[in-house]
Amino acid sequence: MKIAWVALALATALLVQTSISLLAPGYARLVDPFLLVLIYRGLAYGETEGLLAGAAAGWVQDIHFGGRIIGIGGLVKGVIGYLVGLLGSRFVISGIGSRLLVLCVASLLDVLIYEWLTLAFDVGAERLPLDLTLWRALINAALGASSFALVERHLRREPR
Amino acid sequence: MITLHSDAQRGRLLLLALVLSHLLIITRQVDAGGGLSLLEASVLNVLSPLQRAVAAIFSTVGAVADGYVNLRHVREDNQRLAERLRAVEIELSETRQMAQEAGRLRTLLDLRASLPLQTTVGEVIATEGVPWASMITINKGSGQGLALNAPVISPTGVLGRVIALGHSAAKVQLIIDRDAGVGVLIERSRTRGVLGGQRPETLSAQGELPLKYIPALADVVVGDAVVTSGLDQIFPKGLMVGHVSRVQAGTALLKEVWVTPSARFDQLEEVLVLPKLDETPSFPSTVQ
Repeated sequence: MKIAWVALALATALLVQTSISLLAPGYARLVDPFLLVLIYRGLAYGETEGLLAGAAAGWVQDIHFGGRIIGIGGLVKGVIGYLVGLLGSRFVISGIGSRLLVLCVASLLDVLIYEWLTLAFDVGAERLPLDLTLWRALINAALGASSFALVERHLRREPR
Repeated sequence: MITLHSDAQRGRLLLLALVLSHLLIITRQVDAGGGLSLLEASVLNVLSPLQRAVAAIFSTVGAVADGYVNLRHVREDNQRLAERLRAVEIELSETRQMAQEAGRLRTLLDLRASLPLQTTVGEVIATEGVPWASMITINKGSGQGLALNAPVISPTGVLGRVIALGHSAAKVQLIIDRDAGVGVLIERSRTRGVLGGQRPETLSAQGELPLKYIPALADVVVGDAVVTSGLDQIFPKGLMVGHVSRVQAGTALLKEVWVTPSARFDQLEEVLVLPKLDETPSFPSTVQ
């Protein structure tokens, strides 16, 4: 059942990302619905769930939207999922402010680790400017916090 | 044996496995010397012969298609050029005909200017359709002042006379017609005779006509010019008819003389119609 929910969430993320890519290609990099899936998963179910959800999300993203190297996204998002899950299991992150902070930091880490890995492996991916990186963190935080609230209202389940 | 005591421990191991496996996967994809990862190089080596075969097939098909397209273009060009050549040949033929017509008309005008009488230029609009046609139809008739028995000539000689008349067309009996007859004389010796027509089937290749009633003692030799005598009351005196082409002994009283008309009956296109003889003065000398 857990896997089905994760698969449904990833499919929804894929749909959203594809729609943004088609409708507003210039803004596609500013929104990362896959990141939101793994953060919610990590906050709600801990580091193992966050790790697995992050790896799956990263692979789906790599395959559909990535470059010629497959796996960097999976690694980055797996690590972020683990870290978020670790935070979620150690601290109570249910308030809007703490969630916004976690989402912002996770989004920044996502970009930073990804770019560091592409540099390390000399993949040569296009780098996101700093201002766009910050905008991306804010947008993902806003979208994540609101979507988490919507999901929790429907599932009536609070993250740990 | 490793025993997992908690979710945290399991999570750390999973994280380690994830990181290591991903690093391995990524490393295998990153450039390995020749610009390709080992995985990519292997896949490339396996699939490249197939790709080359497919490329060769597409290349061959493309070359054949290009050749076919080019061939079609060459064929279309050929057809277009052939049509253009035909059009140019037609234009050239028309130009030649116009030049020839201009030459004929110039000759006709020269003749007309040299004649001391009012003449009418007529265009042949119908013949009998055979080279030895003995009747022609011209595009002038009584409406243009033509009269029955009016003489018809060409720049090269006498042609015939009008035997039927319409308002804007006339039928001309040529002197080669078997029922035609022209009063003539040998220009040099002034010997008179009658030039008769011939049946088409007996007309020679040179179109010789018999000159009748030439006395056996008359002075006639091959090459003598034959002109109209005016005694037939149709053709004015002195018009060029032809030249003596053959002289034979014949009977005791008469010679057999043959005349080749100077007019070309097989190339008639424009003619000159003279006024009827009772309106026409005699020519002081031969009109050639």
